[in-house]
Amino acid sequence: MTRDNGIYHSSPATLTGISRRELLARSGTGLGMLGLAGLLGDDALLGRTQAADSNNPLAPREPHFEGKAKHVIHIFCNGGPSHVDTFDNKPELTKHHGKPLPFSNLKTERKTGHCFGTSFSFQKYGESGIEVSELYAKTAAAHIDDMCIVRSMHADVPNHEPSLLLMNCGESTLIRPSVGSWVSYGLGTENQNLPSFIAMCPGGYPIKGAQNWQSAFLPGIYQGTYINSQHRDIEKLIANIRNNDIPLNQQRRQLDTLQRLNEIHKAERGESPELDARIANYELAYRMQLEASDVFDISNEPAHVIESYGASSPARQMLIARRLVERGVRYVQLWHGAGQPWDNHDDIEKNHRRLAGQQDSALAALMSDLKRLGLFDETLIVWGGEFGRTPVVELPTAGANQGKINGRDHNHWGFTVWLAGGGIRGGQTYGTTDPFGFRAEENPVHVHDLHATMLHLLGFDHKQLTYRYAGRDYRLTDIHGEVKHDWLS
Amino acid sequence: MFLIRLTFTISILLSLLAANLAAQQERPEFTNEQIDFFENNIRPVLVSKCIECHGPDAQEAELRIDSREAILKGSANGPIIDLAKASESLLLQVISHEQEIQMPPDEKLDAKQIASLKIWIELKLPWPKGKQGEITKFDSYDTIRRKHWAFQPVQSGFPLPTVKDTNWARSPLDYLVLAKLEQAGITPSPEADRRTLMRRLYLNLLGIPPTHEQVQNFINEPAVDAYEQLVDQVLASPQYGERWGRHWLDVARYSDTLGYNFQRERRFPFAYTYRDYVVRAFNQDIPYDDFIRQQLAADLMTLDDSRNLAAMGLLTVGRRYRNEQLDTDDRIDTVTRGFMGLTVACARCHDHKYDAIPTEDYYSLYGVFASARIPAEFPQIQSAEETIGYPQFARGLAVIQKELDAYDTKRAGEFTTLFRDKVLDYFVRAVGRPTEEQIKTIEQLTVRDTDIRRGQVTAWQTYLLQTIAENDPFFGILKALATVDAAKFQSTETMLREKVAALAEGTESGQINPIIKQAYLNTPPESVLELALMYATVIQQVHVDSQKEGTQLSPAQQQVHQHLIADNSPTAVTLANVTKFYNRADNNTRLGIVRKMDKYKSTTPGNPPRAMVMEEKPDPYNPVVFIRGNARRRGEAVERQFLYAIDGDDRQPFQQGGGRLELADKIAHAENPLTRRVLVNRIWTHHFGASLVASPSDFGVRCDKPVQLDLMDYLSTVLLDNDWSIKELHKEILLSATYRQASVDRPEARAVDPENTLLWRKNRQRLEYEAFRDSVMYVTEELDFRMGGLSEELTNSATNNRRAVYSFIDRQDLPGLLRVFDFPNPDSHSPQRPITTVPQQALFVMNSPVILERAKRFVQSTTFQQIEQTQRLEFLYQKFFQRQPAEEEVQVANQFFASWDTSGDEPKMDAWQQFTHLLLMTNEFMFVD
Repeated sequence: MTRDNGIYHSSPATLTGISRRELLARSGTGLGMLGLAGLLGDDALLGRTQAADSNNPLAPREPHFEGKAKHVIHIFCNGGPSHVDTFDNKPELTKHHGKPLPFSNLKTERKTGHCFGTSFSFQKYGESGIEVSELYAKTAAAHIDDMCIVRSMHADVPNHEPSLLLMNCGESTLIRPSVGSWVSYGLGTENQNLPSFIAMCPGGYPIKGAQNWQSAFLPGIYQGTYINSQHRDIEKLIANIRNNDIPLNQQRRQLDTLQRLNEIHKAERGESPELDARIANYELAYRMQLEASDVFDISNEPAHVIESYGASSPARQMLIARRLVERGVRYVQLWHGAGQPWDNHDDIEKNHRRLAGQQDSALAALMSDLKRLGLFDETLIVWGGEFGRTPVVELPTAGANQGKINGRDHNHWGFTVWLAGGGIRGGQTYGTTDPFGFRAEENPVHVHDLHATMLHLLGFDHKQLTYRYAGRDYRLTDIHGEVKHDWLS
Repeated sequence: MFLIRLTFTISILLSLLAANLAAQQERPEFTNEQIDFFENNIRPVLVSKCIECHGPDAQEAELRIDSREAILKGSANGPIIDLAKASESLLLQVISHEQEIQMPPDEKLDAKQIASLKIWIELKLPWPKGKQGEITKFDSYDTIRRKHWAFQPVQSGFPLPTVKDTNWARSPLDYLVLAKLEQAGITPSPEADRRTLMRRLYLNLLGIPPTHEQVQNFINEPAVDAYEQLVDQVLASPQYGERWGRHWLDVARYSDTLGYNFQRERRFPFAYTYRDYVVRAFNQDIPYDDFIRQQLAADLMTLDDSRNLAAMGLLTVGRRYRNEQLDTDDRIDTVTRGFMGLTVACARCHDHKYDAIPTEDYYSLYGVFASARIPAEFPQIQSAEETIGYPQFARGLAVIQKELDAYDTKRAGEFTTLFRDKVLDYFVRAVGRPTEEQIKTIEQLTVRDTDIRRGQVTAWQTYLLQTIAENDPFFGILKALATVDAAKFQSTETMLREKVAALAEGTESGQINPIIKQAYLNTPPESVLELALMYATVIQQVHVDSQKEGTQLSPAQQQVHQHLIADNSPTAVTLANVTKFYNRADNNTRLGIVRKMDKYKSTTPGNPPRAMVMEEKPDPYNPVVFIRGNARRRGEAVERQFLYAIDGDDRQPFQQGGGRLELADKIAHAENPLTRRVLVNRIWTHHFGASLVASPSDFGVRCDKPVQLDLMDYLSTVLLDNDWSIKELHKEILLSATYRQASVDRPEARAVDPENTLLWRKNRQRLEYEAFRDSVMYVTEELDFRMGGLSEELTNSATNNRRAVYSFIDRQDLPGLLRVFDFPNPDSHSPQRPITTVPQQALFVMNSPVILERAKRFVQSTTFQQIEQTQRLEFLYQKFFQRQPAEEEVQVANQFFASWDTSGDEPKMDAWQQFTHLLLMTNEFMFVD
């Protein structure tokens, strides 16, 4: 599928030699009217619309081939979780604890010192017998045979900002669309009443803020919608989500009139994506009011379900993520917290225990829930950070750390990401780091490869999912990326 | 970025090799052809691919490649060149990427580069002699300076291209545009109608629409220069500075708070004086070169208006990192990207990855800014008498000051009493310095160590050391013994005892105070601790005696007592020194009052305005390179001077003080190839909704030569010819036929140039948050035109209707509303705002009381109520869109009113209010054609 600023070349209309745009022009209607018509019908209120034939940029669309995954939940441990303390056991490292590495330390952001063995115990789980640390005991005990642990990830630089952008947008400095935006662009969404792509982060933004879920040159409709999941009151979750003066039915009438006036305005001006976008935006906003109130209100869930996830914000938003996926939201990204909570340059034992503690039950519950609801096989779960952490201890630097010599620096040379659910062959590990866990060694996987594989799971050839912008066809993986078929079921 | 072409032919190759026959010795003489070959094919590779790790800065594998000798010396792995058997050279194996060692590690050289290196080795490494031969990073910088478009002088006086349609063009600008359009086979769009033009001018320049009456007058104006007159009129409006000042505040990363601070007030009390300066600078059309100078160095200039000192807010309204290095970095970044489109801050930790900015140059600028500091108190730029509301302000301030003084006074009194009552505890600790274990064994001590105010212990030590003479009648014994080593204490004390016994009793110098003599001779101390305890007991006893009613102290007692009650006693706590004794809790209480005072000063009108300046430090800061940006790793010293990328080898170190004014002059120099172009591009972007250079703050080598470079250079010349007048620059653009084009889509033109790069029409622009909000306020007759002063919370206020430029901007907690409307992050310079369309924007317009209130109140207003029912629709259209409703629109409106359901509860907003509200939501209201 290739599109040129909103023209869908491979759409059925193209097959008959007429572009969708021309088709719409001929039928004397446009985006706004279609949005209206679709919405006024009862279908809209039922949630999942199948407005496949509309010009709505978020209408569900078929990918290149049938993908196993239909939704993505990306659990982002921002700051960088330590792989040697979680999913990549390194007995050699423990053996050399306090001694220098037998090879020179790889260059990371800060000064590092001797080997720093993990403080956590590892144990084999499931039929696959994959070793996981105590930090994720519940997740591993329940689901390890459905998880694919990729231990040989690597990125480009040991700094948060570029690595965050690389992991999210496939490019560390230039402005490029995020994975969620690409997926929304490629697949549309199943529920027109909610944003296609939601980024939740309790308490504020991660580093780099909204850039992490930017749509860049893709239409703004594909940008992630940020939700501060710390709040429970819907009016605090999404500002202006309610109108306290105009009841909904009257507002609907108001918007219908508005859109008719907008159509008259547009008719005199010809092709105008920016006008279309704002017309569509009112419809999205209107629908959001209805459905958002419900989906974010987890009080309807049975007490035992809420309990199984846990009380922390990172846990609660996993439950919300499940509710979003149930309602057809395409891409949900869950950030652990504002700033970079996993960036444990000091006190890694204490901090990782706390952070993983906020996730373990919830991850286990989330996957169990998805299995129970029959959604596990169509939901791709990705867990990881922007990079991992060094197997060697970080040395004191005033201002940069607290000088406690009990933390780890950033490590882009090698780290772990795991995937589960839609299309993933579980119960396997893929690739290795060296015996100390510093550098990806066997079957190294670059972030571009991860992206290529994620798109493949969703039914896209990452080389074909492109967008024409300023004279060039852009894609998520630029000129890189290799699908890792070994991960697939 | 080096295009290396192997252009040599076989014959050249043969001649090169023939010459080589003469070059058998260790340092052969090379022919000019061979040297050229090196310069064209080898040097660029060495500079761009090798020198970073094998040059002066780093010598990986002990290899350097920056001289012929060094290359022949080889690496830790042995020789890398085999002059006898060129093809066996280790260098060639390594660059082939076929061996274990692969260089360059990230990407293999291309085939031509590899071939060139092979030939070069066969030629026995031709290399120029002397200093010329040195390979440095400046080689590549020089290439960039010579080749990159942005570093070439602004072209002026070039002949205008010939065009076919000479009637269309109104100015040279139009010729440049039209020539490219004709080349592409596109015609320009017709001129927009007068209503559209006037709305365009008002919304672009003032951020509010014209009135219906104004539009009618313009439409009916017969004068031939009606449009020109209108442009002049609009540019003279004070609302122009508010609109365009806000554009500059994006560049200046303006915020009203310093960022994160846990304990202190985060508001800058005077950031607004910078904002007001910027608004005024645009309104008064301060020449852009002066605008630059004033923002960087107003403190070093002769100013005709002292308010212009506030210009330096550019340097001081950034985030405060409580780290001078980071604050300085933010200043360098804002100044270099903001004015020159150069990403100098990239060179903080290493040479710029792409541009001609060595890390040394970053530190040259660092030296300039680090030679300045923020003064203890900002200079007042308006007298108290001239400041409206000052008397009330001063009264309020006095109340808080009194509260602060009252707290300090109360604590001073409490401390004085405490330190006298507990003198034994403090004295023993001051003199005896007991260990924790010892403290437990001294039963006279009553104060826990954690409750001890360390300041009082130190005060006693200082007093005894600095105020008391050796032969003091009371403290003489202590002075003689307190500093004696434990090992010698016994012997020294024995000798002293005889002397003391012989001394006459009395209170004069040379005598001994009888109380201490008796205490000492009764029980001579065996350690300094016992000595301390002895004295402390005596002092405390006198203190206790002094408190007994009706006690008359003896002269000896009075002498002891004086050490407690004299003005210079360590126990005398006053307002001047009370904070020395504060613990964290006291400090927190005090800081609470200080914070209240700071908040009061930052939020209460009537505080005489001050300029957030910087001033020169007494001595300029002499910069050194911080290796990898680490201030503790000091590298070589560098001069305070301008950038190599612009001044090249001719540059001279700055001479005056820290060089800030000289830096400003360099940036604002007519020959600076970047400054004018960067400004022209920013201004163009706001007029056309698209940039000539797509990265407005990065004109470096990764920025391709713009299609409209000639246009940019033409406008840069206009700026200079008009003494840097921004208003004249606006006029040049606004009067052009290019600007006056209609924005209507034309499929045939779009097919050729979908991005409208060639300017075949005017782009339709969406209003930014500020212009949209202000327009809503304006058309509903509620916009508050008061200019300047303290920032106020406006984003969520349904009652404060001042212009959005006066919004309080908290960089630590930027209102979500601003974020969803693409307001830039005020933590760093913003090149341009993105334009996103997200549902939260629509939710604001649909549901926020800020907008709803406007519709409600407008319909309730007398203005509206006095309009006949039948005229109301027309009235609204005139008011909001400066036109009559079309028939189709009347029908839609009629249907809306006809379908109004009057049954049921009275809605909070009636039909007219809801209709008014929806008109504010239309695309017509939000977009500028």
